[in-house]
Amino acid sequence: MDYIKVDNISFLYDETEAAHRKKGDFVLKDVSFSVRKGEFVALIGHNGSGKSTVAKHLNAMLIPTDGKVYIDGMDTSDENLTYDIRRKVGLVLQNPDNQLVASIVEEDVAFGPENIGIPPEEIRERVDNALKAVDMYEYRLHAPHKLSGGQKQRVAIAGIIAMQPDCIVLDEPTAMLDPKGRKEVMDTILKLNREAGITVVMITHYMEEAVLADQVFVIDNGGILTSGKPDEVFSQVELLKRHRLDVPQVTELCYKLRSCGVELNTLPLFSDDCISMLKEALR
Amino acid sequence: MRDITLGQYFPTDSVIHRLDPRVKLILMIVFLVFTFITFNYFALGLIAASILMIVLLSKVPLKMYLKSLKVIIIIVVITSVLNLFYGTGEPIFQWHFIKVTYNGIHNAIFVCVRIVCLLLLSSALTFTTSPTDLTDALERLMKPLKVFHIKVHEIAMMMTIALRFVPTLLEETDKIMAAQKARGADMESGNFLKRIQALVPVLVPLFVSAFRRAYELATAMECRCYQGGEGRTRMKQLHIQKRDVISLIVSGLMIAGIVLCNIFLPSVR
Amino acid sequence: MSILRVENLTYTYSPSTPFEHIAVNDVSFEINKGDFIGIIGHTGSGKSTLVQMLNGLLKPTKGKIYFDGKDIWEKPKEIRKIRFNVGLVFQYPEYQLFEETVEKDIAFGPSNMGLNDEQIKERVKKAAKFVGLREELLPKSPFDLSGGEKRRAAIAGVIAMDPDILILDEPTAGLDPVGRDILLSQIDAYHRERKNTVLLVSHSMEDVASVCEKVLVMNHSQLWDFDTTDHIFSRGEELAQIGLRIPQVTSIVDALIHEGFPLKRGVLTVEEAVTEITEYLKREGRL
Repeated sequence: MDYIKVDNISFLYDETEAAHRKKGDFVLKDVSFSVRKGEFVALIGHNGSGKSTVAKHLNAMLIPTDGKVYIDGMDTSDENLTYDIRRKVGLVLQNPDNQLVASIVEEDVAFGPENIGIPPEEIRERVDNALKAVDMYEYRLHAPHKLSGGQKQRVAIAGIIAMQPDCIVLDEPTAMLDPKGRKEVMDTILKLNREAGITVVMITHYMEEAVLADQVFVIDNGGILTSGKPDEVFSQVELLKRHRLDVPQVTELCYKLRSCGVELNTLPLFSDDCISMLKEALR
Repeated sequence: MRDITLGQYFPTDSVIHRLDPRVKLILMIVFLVFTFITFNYFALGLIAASILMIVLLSKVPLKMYLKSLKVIIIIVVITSVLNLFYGTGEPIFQWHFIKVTYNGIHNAIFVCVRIVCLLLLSSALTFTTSPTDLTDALERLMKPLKVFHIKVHEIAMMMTIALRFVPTLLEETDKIMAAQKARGADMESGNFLKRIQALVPVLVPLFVSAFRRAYELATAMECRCYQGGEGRTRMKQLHIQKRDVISLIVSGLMIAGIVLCNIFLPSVR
Repeated sequence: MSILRVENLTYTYSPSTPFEHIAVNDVSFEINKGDFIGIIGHTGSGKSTLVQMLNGLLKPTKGKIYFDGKDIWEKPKEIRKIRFNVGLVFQYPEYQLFEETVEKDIAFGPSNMGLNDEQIKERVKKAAKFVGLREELLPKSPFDLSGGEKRRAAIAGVIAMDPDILILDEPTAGLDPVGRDILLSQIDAYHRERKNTVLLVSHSMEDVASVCEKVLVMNHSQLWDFDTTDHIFSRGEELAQIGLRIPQVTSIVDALIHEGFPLKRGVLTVEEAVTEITEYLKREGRL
């Protein structure tokens, strides 16, 4: 069953009167897609393509101008359901510094559960579990500003996990991190998806992160350019390059070798596959 | 810039640390009030002794207290000296316009002890209480003010956020200053007006950044279902313990002593 | 010809306190005029402290820095002049924009140098061109620009001082692939046209591999190695031990060499790898 269903949505920031709307003003144009429970979905596209706008539609921070978004069957435009939706779909933002509220890690993680009126003993339990899930339990009494970027972002994720959502949406969570921090955060997200079964929608422009997803949606100019499994999407090297999007270096290498006449049947996404394919081809 | 002793929490384990923050806050206010309405040496001595006991019990190195005293030492000296020379009554020493009276000497001593007590007491509070506990205590203590339509929760939330972002913004100020210096900004020389002008390239980006952070933080808070104080619960509950009761009783006795001294012993005025 | 020489450079934060921390430890190297150098190392390895010493923002605890043969701290009062000669662009430089217009903001550096209006105007124009800012953007408020444009305006603010050495601390951080490619190619073009020295601090090995001629590697506050880019990246396994990776394509070619294929070590870009592999196949007569 579809957990998230985005049904033909269009979005316009200013509420221009219906008669004066031009297609070009829309940030999103007729976007439809769906995400199944437990899936890991990556949204890629460059800045200004509308991908962050899509993310904010998934937890009712934005309501589509046209079309509907359903979360577990709930219509996001129904104001009575707003907070039910936000409990189920947590949103993690890009800058880890600007989403932590309290000066102590564990109190920050408790912020969400406190807002939805969970009893104190249960909050304690949830906070401890959430911090353990992101591997930050030993830092529970630290001040956020003394942590590294990757650690801060994991605390932010713990803050969402503590509300026990079904789904986490992450808007470029690794964009401001160094390689080590990026790996920490990616490992955390994968673990939550695979072990805790949390549905993940992740926006990124790092292709090496997108290839780990079950499904990839490429957003360009407010619409979906192409979608599918990572190998299906990234094998369209020319289309992606034409829209100035990256493909993993290994995919690009094999694509170029193939056009030089080297016999390669499929295009790899990971180093290991690439090495074994090239070993075959060169032997 | 980062060395500012602003509510610096010193995490060790002491009786004072473990006291309920509400109790600490109330006691601090009470002691401060008595410090300023006392005009009697015995009472002042009692207060100073109580504060000294608190300082010793807090297990915070005395060096930390001395460090915070160092900041105001000049203020203490100046106000004491002024008080010394502007006393009323019979002069015991006079040289040109400078005259010293008994009254002046008393005033100087009182002012000096009062300021030092004020500082030691507030330092003891901030050294032994984490900022979050402090805002928490304030929110709970001010709860009755809701009757007068004072937005207690919002005020406490504002303080929490301010405390959280002070170090972040200080760090950012350092960064922006370095960046502008790299573009040749001169912040060390020139007269007062020039130095104020030199701050513009630092303050503008700082404000812009503060607004951007505020906007993003508001979004993040909404994403985490924040809807104001209504229906909120708290992870940490505060419970009055035996040690809180004991410290209230001890303090009560001390204060009774101070009051008696003030009433029955001669005032210096 | 050497333009910058660094001898036994050491920097200690909060010396003789419990928080003492040696950020840069006994580092010596020499940079030639016109070099394009990448500086890599994990977070906390001392890169940022090092570059802030190079332009006189931080005063070394020990050691000397010679710019054009002269000790930069010889006359501490004139350290500001060094900052005009060694331009430093900080990470996320768009957060330092403050003027009413882009033009005025870019002019901040040159006017601090004491140039006259005419010269400043000329400098601003040239700098804006180098970073590819269209002229119609100059009278706009810097806060109305897009993210990538803001970044470029801020970099122009340093380029406008016309420094002999330009240091950029992670100029592509947080940009999307398009923004990154555009900015890198502009820096590369600037380097070629101005023929001055550029130092690029980066976490992206792909970026460093694609533009830098030499690489300086910092590890735990010490200089690990300073050599040409292909030499550095042919030491993939050792780099991995100090927590750095090499470009993905370099590691693929390394793995193939390990399997016994006679390919060249230290391949840096996809294009080079394609040539290397197709030429091997041609030599073997299989293509």
